[in-house]
Amino acid sequence: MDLYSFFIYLFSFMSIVFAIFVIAVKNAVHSAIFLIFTILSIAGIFFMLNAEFLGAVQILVYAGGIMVIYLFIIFLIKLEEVGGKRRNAFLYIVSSLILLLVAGEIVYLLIKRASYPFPPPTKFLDLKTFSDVLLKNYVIPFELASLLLIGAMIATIYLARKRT
Amino acid sequence: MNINFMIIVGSIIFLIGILGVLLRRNLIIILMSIELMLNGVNLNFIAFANYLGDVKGQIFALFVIAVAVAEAAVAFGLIIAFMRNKDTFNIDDMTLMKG
Amino acid sequence: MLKYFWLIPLFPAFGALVNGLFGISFFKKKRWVNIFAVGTPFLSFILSSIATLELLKLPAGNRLVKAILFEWVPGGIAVLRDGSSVPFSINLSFQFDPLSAVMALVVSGVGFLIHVYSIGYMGKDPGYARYFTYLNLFTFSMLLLVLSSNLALMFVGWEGVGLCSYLLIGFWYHKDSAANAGKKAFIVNRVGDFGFLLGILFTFFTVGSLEFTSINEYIKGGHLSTSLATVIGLLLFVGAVGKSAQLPLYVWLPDAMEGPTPVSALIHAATMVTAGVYMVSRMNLLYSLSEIASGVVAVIGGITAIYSASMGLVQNDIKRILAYSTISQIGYMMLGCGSGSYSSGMFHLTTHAFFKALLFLSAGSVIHALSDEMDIRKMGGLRKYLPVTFPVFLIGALAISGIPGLSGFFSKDEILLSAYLSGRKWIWIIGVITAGMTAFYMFRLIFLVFYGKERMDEEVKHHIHESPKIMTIPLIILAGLSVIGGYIGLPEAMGGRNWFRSFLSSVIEEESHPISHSTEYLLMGISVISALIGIYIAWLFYIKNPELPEKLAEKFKALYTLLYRKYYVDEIYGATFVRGTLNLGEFLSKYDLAVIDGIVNRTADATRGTGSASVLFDLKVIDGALNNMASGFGKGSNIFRKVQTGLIQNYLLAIIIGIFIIITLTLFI
Repeated sequence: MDLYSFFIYLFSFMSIVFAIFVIAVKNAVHSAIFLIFTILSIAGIFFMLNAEFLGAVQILVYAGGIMVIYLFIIFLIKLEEVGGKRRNAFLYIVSSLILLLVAGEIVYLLIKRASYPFPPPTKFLDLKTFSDVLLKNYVIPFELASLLLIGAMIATIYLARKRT
Repeated sequence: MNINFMIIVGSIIFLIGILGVLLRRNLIIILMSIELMLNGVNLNFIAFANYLGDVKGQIFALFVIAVAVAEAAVAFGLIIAFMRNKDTFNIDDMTLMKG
Repeated sequence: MLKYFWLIPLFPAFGALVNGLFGISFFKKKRWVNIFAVGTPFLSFILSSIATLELLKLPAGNRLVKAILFEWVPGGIAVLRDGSSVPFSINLSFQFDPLSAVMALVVSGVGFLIHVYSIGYMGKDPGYARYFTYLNLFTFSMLLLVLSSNLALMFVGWEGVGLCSYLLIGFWYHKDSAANAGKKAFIVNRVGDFGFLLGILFTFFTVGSLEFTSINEYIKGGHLSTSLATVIGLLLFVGAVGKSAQLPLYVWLPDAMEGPTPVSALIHAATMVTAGVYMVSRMNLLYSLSEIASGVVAVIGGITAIYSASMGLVQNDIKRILAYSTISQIGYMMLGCGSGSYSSGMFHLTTHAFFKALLFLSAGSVIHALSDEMDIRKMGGLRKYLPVTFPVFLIGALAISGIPGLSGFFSKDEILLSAYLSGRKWIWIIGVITAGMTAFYMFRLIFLVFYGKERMDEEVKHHIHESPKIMTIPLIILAGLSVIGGYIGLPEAMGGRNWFRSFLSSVIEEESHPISHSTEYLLMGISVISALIGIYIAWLFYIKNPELPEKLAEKFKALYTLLYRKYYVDEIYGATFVRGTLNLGEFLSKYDLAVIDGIVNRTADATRGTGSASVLFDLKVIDGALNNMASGFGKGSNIFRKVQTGLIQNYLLAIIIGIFIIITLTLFI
């Protein structure tokens, strides 16, 4: 195995493991930390897949922005522990089962039925191409995305303001 | 890279996220599982962008991240508003739509 | 124009329709009512005249025109008396031959004059339009009767005139006496109609057709046995007895005087009551075949004549006297027909129409002048007040008495001649005596009304006035006809050719008995002397010795009372038939109440019981089912409601499961 594949396998393995930890631990803070790790692992995969910009964006925005806010909220309103009665085991079993089955089906699909009649890539993906396409062809969604962010900001401020 | 492998990894992360949404009671952890799902999807996009040599996948992934940000912000606002009213973040107690 | 003769009845029908529907509302002005009511019989008369003239142009043996309008009753196959099968069908068809021509002319002509008279007489009556509607309806029915070519349509007309008679007699229906008189007329008529209907059925059963031409052919072919002819003839004559007011079904005619005077003139003098005579003449072959039947006709006619003349001797109501006179004169006509001389009966019918209508209408004029006074004991000396009415009344009286020169003489003479020749001499004697009685009561009437002391009330005397021209002109016309009308039947003995008889000969087959002129003169003389004796006695009683009648009445009180009370016939009928029918009616009504109503009530109770049972069923079962179904739905939906837990995670799980199923299905099917 060459280095490239090794790192991809490594990062994939790490991201899956950390994802499992995210949903498995009790404490919300721990869950958030594991999520950060998951994000970083996925960023690593992005880097291996010729998407350096996205990887950087992932780390900066996702891990550095969103998760930080998550932690702020957790600490601010003390969302660590949640009580409540024990849940029905039925739910756990059924959900896991279903998802296992779905996973199985996806695997089946990929191995048995999928076909890839595409030619090997010719273009080399780099930042220049990326920004070219983004700011020429997709400038409107780009602007709309910024509008979306403004809207979200306003909404959040409105929702969370102090009621007097 | 072997595209099948990347698809499988992305799907697994996505399904783990769904599992988290279905099984956890803590509201914040549910939101974090949603983020996990989005990440899985992003992985898929980037994998295909790389496989097909098409940059559109990466652009879409960028937008997904932007939307995820907006969604997270609004979700927090909602949590705070909800906390003020009900003072619970147990999803089992949020059954106003029951019946 | 002859082939349109079937329109003759339709003119007055149209008039009746228009006046009946619109007379009261639209026609505020009497003029419009008059135009339809009086114009239509006039048109009928014109058409009848034209048709008759054209009929005359045809050769003598060929004078028969039939107009078949359409098949009225399409029946199936009927099996006749002799076993043969024949299709049963009745056509709406009319026949125009000399006999119907005579009747049509009389009905439409005299009818028209009476319509004109009525304009004046009924001028102030509130039921003006209704009166004319009924009158037109009557004219229509009568014309239907005389113009029909088969017994069935004739029966329709027969019934129609009976109905109109009822309507018109009871015209002033709020008067009890008038309403009862109308009922009496109709019911007595009905008794006669029952016999008539049986006769019709018998005819069909034997002959296979109701058409007169077919019946005549059948008889001429010798197929009809004498006994059957007797039966049919007698049955049909029963109808004639009722309609023409002969013994014993005459009782309605005197009471029928409750109706307006023009009605009495038209219906009960000139036309309806003569329908029986027309029917007998129409069926003359039948009656000639049966000695017994024609004998019965003659005898009943003769006896009725003298019987009712006897009652007319002592009546005090001016119209009643004329009514009894009518019954008596129709008896004469039946006598003539029954003696084999149908043409003499028809001749007398025609002349009687003229002078009886004249007499009634002049009586109406007198009544009108005296502000509706009808009792002759309260009249007298009207000669000077009624300068037109008096002479015409006198002419009518002379005509009816059979004074030579006027029409009545010729026709009455023919009848008496035929009675004499028929071999039944005693009937002839009765006829002569009746002639004398006729003269007597007519001149009694004249002397009491127009001569002598004035016995009117003072009030009435103030208002005496001669009738307006619209009433007097028809009187004058009728008077003229009463004089000259007889000359169409001038017998050979007096130089004529009896044109009337020869005109009718194509329809009426009579043996002509040759008789020496001297015998004829003798017979004529005897009847004239009888009439003159009657007049003389009347003069004696009422001019010379006015107290004589009262003294005679005292002396023969029993006889007088018998006559005055009309032989108590009305009372006898009342006690027997009327009481019997009413009792039967009461019994049946009690039966109806008790039994039938009982059944109906029990059935109603049963129905109510089942009704409540079904209500219960409805409530428990059906509503129960419904309610249970509804609650079932509720419970079921309760089960399904559990799906809506309100927990988002459950919803999400459901979605996932759905996705899984879809993927599975897509992959593996």
